[in-house]
Amino acid sequence: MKIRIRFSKTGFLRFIGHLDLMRTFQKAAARAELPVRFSEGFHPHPMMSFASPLSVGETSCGEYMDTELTESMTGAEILDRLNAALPDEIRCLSIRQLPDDEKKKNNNAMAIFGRADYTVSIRPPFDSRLAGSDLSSLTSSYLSQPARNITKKTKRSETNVDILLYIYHLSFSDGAFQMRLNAGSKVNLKPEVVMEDLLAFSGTGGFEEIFSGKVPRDIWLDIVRTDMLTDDGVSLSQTGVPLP
Amino acid sequence: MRKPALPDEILLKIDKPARYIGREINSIDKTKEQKNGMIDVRFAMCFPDVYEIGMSHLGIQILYHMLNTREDIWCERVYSPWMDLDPLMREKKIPLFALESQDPVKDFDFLGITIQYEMCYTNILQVLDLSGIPLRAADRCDGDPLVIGGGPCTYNPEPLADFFDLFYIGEGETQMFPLVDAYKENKKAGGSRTDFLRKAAKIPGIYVPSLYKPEYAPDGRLVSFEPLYPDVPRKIRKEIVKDMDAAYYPEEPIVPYIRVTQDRVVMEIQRGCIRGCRFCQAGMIYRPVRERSRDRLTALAEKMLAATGQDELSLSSLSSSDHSQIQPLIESLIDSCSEKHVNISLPSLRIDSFSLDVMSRVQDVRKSSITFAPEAGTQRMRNVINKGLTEEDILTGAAEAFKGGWTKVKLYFMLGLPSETEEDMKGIAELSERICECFFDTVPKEKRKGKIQLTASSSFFVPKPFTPFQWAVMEEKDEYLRRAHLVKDTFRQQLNNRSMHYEYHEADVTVLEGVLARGDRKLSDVIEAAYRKGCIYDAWGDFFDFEKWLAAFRECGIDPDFYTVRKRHEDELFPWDFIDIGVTKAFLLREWKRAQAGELTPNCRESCSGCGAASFGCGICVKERK
Repeated sequence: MKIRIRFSKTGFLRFIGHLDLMRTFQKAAARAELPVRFSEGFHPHPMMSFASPLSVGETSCGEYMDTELTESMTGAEILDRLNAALPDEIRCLSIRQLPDDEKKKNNNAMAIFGRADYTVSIRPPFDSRLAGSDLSSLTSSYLSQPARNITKKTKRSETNVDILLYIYHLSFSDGAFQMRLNAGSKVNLKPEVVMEDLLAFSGTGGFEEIFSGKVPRDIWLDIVRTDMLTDDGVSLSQTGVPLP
Repeated sequence: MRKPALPDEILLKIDKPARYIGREINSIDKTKEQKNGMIDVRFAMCFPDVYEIGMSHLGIQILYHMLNTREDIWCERVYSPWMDLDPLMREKKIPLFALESQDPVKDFDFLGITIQYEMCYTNILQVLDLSGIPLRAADRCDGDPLVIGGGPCTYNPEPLADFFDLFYIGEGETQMFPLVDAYKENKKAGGSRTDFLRKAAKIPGIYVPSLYKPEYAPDGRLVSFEPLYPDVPRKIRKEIVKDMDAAYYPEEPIVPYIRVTQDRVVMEIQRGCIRGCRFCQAGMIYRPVRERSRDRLTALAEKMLAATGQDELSLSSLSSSDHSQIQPLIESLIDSCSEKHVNISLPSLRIDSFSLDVMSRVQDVRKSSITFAPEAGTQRMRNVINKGLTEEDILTGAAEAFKGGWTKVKLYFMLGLPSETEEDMKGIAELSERICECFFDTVPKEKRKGKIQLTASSSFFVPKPFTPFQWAVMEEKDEYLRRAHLVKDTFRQQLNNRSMHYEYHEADVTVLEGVLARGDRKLSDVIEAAYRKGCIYDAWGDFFDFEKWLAAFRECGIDPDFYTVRKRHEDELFPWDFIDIGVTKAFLLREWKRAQAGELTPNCRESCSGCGAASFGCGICVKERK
């Protein structure tokens, strides 16, 4: 039985890296005595795959993990047992069942994930530099630009991209920016890149140390990944079928 | 929710922030249980090295969980901040904190420090310094935590005497609760720090260094070591657990988030060793050998694996093959573990047909290696050290392993052992060569899957207190290097040189380790001076700075040669002689003489040699022998 679990990662555990998160899930599943399928070979490992690594320092309430069980269980029991075994700051939120099609390997969370939602706020004391600005109209005038070209550095090359093509949503409400960005293996647009360009566009002063890279991302930004979606904009929590 | 002691801007800047946040599965947070009102004693348990090393230590895990079984005690963990965090904490004046509560160590009642190796001594000072606790016990006042040391190095605590309020000599399971109770009682009665120390000195196994006075001869030798008051015991007898099955053992060990050195469930199957190798301190101080029963161990394994979800179980002991139930124990563990996809690792197992059969079932033969610890290159030398392993044992074991498909061999040796000759040094390369030849003789050409890869490594021998070699003279640094080069040259002359790799340890670390191992109280000044010059993490080759240490010795007017190359007389009073480990000095001296005559002494299972450990009335000393 193939399943997809949505989970959150918050608090102190934002300092745990992706590999350690995977180990945490493997051990939690063992403590929970979930019948997870193991790979074949001399060093069998539990079949678990995660949609996408979350940067150290960020929190999330929209992470996804796919796994396969050798026996069927109810969704409620799986969630209860996992949550009892996981640390408090990782919570399994919901579960879906995936089709048991052996050939369809490219439907795992990592492969179909194409967009991500974020809630981003500027941390004090940096936020005071925007006091008095109408951030809501800032976002709409930013989006109405014909193009916003930024230089993207990779290990091999530098390319110019228009990031507006990869921003599906950007607004300001309740003291935070909401955004839906392209993500996944093809173009992974990071929220801090959008924020930096937005501030540059705003023309507000006082952010020079951020532009020069002196202040690390996590010091001036509070980034929460709130969900992951397919290329068609469907939340991964709505893929597959319900598993009561 | 509790806030981390370190601000985000630091946690996001340093390597592996998870080292400092605690909250691992099975770690104990008593504020969460709403039990803070019941806590009378707060205990910070420290391993003075980086988290990954400290978290791999079994002794702390035992004491941590044992202390936390009591509602009135909250024991938390402390590790050394890594080199990237240390300067930031000093700069921002952030005091060292315990992982669970993230509260400053300075607010605790006790700071317990396990002292596992000499090269961590400056790290102890780092922990005290960052905590804001005066380095010298004499400078501490009632509000400061009581600093207590434990672990193997406390069998000669004297170089550290000035930095500790108390030392616990022996195994922690027995007297920790009486110690805490005495502390509570003293506090209730309004007693001072000195009142408590005086009372603690009467608890078995507790040594309060400030209550003893050493006197030295003009040449520096210790001539007397006496308590200051008549009610303080002259001798401290080590504490031991008599019944391993009844002793506390943590069934729910902590599961770290980050990968630590010992990233598995560790199950201690026995304590002590029957062998009596004459260089080995553990083999003497943990006598007599005491086993956990097979029933207790199989039950423990099941509980620990269920509570952790770990995928590997390691059996821990000084010599696993000597456990009387080792074969049935391993058979039943393999059965129960394989269905749970749990691997078993078996360090310290002698290579024979049984262990090879077991290893072929739990490991990938092509990838794993077989390990021998002949310790010395010639039979004469192996007799001197009482290593009951013959060349025939090694070659038979190796031949079996080669037939079973193994091609990787690791060999451990020591250089600089007492009475070592050039023949013994060359013997290291020659024995390695014969193992290579054994491979080509045993495995016919058409059956060879890959070629033999042999790695021989040698460390330089350091004489340790409470061993028959405690009287031995060490060599100068250059002489150690000469011997290592001689071995290396001999390797080059061997036919199968290209299949063999030889490596040796640093010589200057050896010299320093030798000074500290058999040192006296005068060395406290040197350790502090070295720390002030910036020495920390001396156990890490990248950070060890011998020049700074030498400068510290000069500054304090202390000659390191006094501790290393000076000949000690048979009747010399040693700084550690006030400790009674059960094994008598007379036995050690007898063994020292037998070593010089090249005579073997039987192991404890073969026959009793009257070492003195029988006075504890437990373990193998009261069991019937074969």
